Amino acid sequence: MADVESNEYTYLEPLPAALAENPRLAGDEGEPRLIAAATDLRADGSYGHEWLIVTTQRLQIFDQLSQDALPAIEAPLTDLTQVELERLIGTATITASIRGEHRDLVRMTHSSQQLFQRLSQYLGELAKFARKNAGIDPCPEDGPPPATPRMPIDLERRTRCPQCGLMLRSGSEICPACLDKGQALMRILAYMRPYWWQMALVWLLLVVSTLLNLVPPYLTRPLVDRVLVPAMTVTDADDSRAPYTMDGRPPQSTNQRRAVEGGPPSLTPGERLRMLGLLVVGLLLAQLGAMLIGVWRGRKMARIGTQVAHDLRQEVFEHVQRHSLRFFDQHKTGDLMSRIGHDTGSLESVLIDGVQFFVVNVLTLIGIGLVLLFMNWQLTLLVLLPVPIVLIISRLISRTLRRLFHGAWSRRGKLGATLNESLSGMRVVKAFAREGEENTRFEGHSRGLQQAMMRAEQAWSTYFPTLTFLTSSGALIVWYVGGRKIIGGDELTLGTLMAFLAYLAMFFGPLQFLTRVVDWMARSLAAAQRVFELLDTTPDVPEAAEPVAMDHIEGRVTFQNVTFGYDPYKPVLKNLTLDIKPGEMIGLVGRSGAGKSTTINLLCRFYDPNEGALLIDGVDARNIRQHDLRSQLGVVLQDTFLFSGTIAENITYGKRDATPLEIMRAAKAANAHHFIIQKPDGYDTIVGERGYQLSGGERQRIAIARAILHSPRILILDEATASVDTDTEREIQEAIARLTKGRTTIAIAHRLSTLRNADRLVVLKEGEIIEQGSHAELLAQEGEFHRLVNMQQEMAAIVGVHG
Amino acid sequence: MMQPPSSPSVKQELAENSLGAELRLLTVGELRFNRNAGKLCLTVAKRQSWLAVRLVRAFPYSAGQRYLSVLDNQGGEIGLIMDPDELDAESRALVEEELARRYRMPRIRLVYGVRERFGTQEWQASTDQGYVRFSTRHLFDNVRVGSDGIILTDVDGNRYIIPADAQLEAASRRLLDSSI
Repeated sequence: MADVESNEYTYLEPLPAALAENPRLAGDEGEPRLIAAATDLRADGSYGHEWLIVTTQRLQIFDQLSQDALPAIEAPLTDLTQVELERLIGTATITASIRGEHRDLVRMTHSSQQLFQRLSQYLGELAKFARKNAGIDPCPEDGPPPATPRMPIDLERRTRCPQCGLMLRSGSEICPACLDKGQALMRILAYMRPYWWQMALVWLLLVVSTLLNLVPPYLTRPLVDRVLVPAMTVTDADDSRAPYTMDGRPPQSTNQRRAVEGGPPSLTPGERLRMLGLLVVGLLLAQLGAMLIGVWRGRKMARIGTQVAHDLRQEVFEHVQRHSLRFFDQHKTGDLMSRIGHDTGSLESVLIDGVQFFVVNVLTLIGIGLVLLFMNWQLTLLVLLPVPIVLIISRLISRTLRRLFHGAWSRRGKLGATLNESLSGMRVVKAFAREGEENTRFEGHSRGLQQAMMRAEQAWSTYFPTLTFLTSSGALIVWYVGGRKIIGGDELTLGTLMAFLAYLAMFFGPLQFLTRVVDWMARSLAAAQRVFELLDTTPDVPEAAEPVAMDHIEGRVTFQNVTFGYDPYKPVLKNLTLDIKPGEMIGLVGRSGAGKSTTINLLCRFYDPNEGALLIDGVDARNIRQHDLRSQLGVVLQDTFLFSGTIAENITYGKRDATPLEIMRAAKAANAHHFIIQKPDGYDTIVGERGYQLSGGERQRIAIARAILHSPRILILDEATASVDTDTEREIQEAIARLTKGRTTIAIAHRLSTLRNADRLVVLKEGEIIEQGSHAELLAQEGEFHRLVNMQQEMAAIVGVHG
Repeated sequence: MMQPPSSPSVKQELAENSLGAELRLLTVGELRFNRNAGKLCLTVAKRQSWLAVRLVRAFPYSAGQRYLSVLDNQGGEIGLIMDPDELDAESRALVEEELARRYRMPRIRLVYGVRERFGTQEWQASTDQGYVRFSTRHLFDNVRVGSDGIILTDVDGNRYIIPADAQLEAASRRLLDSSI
């Protein structure tokens, strides 16, 4: 796949030699090849390849790869009509009509369906183009000559890593395995630049505290050798004599004997006591110092880490808000939430804990290794014998354990889902007397969880002691080998042995950490990269380079030959032209999918038209400062969204500095005042997710009050009345009538009667305006609108709703 | 400000206006409150009277005493009083009495202690209305900052205000600080 030659006109996979040398293969200087693609299925449905070849003139399909093979299908493009990709079950087929005869061209599995979808669209366009050029199909009179077709853009979302084939997390193109870890790390570190001197301090503190942690075991050596062990010797050898003279000095003979034996000069009991005191104070200072520096470092790092994560979260959120709605259509809310909330959080954990632990552990390992080697290198090498085993085993163990615990967790999730289902469906369960069956089902899941938990816990209980045993086996070696040396001669002192054991105990913790660090780093860096990926996307409704400021919009809206599709090849609006005068109220009418909401999306500049232009007061919307446009645009949407906060805060969402009187005036005009005042907390009632629950009609009227207070020049009403009782609907209609007065209004409502107040109705069908005029005019025309009205009246008669 | 109702059909007009487009602001100088058979009555401009009116605060937290809505016995709004302080002394006393009847919110002077058990906070406090014990749950959702203190809502929906000068012992102070 890597060396496919592909641009907007061609898609050429490298041809196998046998096919390339086939003299019947079409494509040369005068007739360049546009498509050469291998399928992954043969015509009979077996796995294999067939080649789809398309030149500017011809279509060929080869099912044999020999040099003298005849193409299975060969047809001039002018013979081709109705090229389509037919989605079947487990397979797909490109079908076409060749000289009026319908047939299958090539087959493929779903895995390559996306590519062939594009190719078939392109082939269809090429065939149309060829037919128009040949004069078979008519061209629109005095229209432009047919344009050279282009390959549809690759809109495919990658689900697998192109390099290693790993399944990617949904919505992401970052492969945790192939990620350039160095690069990601550098970028994280770049965020720390503003705090570099604090970071430098942290690193310095890291080194110091690591070194200080290495001191205590080293002090135990003289403590044992020079202070404690001679004491035992003294009491053993001289217990018949008075061990100390009156001034606390030991008898001379001991001193002399030790000196003769060639050890370090022995100390008098008084000196030993003094040294004991000094050493204990030394130990205290080292431990206290390490503790204090550790605390300082930890606090410092917590500040930097959380600050950097905050900077990043803020940057990501601001960046995401700049995107058009298309972006939010493409990215799931959950995915974005996870990236902004969770992924930046895991970045924080890299910064706060990760970097610190990593450095501390590596430094500790190196430090201890060096000290051990320095104290006794033979013993050190012996001690290190179990290290590779420990490393390998703990890596295996952590994998197995993760798998087992993961299995247990997912079973717990399944149990929860089952439980939720049967509890919330209890009415059905009881009605059908299926309690027994539900019991069995629950037992199955519960048993599954029990088994999985048991396996995981048993594995944990087995592996963990094993690992502890293995790590402590190093100590056994030290005891035995070191002990022999002490007994056998003087080359190893007891103090050294004790220090050795102490260091050893400190050695294996960091070691086990390092076995997990690779995995952990990879996951954290992938999280970081997913955040960066989001930051690197560019908004597709950009602010113009030199935006036109419009402080006061009159409200003239002009759609000039606007063509737009969410997928550029499937236009939803086709060549739409509509002029709306300032203050006019337009009702958009049509079936669902006719393009009503899309028209409004363009007006809000959630999207830009593919062709044509949208003018506001004669200025192309693309050039108007987005803030100016949106601040004078009001929207009352079908699903009224209230933010958590008080009713007053929700009404002032578009105008924060409104006075209480203004708020109440707006609410009054929206017919909301009378119900708000009845609430115990009045306008201070908290609404939203955790607050007071408002009814649908109440929410809508609050939204209308919000729009009235915002006082937009251009107002958009999307299906503002839905599922409310007749009285409430009348109140809402009244409120809307007040709201729309003197404002350019574009309203969508499925209930046609609600649009009676509109100055003009525009009937859309499949992205085109088919009728427009007043309510009465359109009814008199007896066209599409008349039909829609009749249909609804019949509906209303059946349901008994009085619109 | 709107002119006060003056035509003979004031009452009818006002009644219809409860769903009208415009907010009805009452001219405070023309209002007389009095008690009639124990019920609060309102007379506007000496011509129109309502028996049994109710008074509610539009912004009980953010604007405390101002913006009172006067409702008739059907719950329809007669109009708004922007500032009750401008009423004559007798009316004002009646308004305050009515508000005190409707909005009971003991002011906490002293919190003796708060005990947390199984997600419930049990408070013991002395208020301007006497000693009280009450329980709160989900404190984070039931505490809010009003214009003159912190307002607590207990599990039964009773409200308490903790003014800034209330004495709190350390644990309850910490608890409140972490819940706001």
